[in-house]
Amino acid sequence: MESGQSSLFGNLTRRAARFLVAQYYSRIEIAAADRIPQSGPIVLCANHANPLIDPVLIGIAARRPVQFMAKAPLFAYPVVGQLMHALA
Amino acid sequence: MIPAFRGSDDSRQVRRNLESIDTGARVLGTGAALGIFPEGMLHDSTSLKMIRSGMARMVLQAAEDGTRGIQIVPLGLNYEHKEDFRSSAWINVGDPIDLD
Repeated sequence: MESGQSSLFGNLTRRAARFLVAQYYSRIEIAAADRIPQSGPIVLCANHANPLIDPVLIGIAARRPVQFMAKAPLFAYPVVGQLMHALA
Repeated sequence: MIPAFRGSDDSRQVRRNLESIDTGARVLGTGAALGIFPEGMLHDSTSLKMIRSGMARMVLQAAEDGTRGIQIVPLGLNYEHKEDFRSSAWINVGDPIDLD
């Protein structure tokens, strides 16, 4: 898992996604971001309103790499599935 | 990413969640951050839906396996108009729950 987290493709994909979302939304406000520990094991639990954007927002708020659980059928989709495996 | 096998997608695959819980517990054991949507569904409601047990099982397994210092951080994701370009998004971070 750790090797995947630090893979070049995974890092680039995460950076690109965060950049695009920051362009899409003119304002992204994070209240009490300092409550998210910057080291050690954490589970970030959120409501889920937007399948593509929510994980990116969580990544922006966390300011550290985040592994996600995602519904299994997504892994079988062309392109999306390959991206998800790359981020694994 | 770790696959979650929902009964609503394919009930024959649900048992494979045991592997996913193992994987998630191992990820926490490395000191990593794990993101999860514990309601297991997309919705725009302002109220909480039923929370699934997978997250709790995974965290408890990680603790059983010897992982210490796990913190569960609740996040509220809010959109002004989620489909609208140049709209706003707000993230509210709740008080972390320290498993220890």
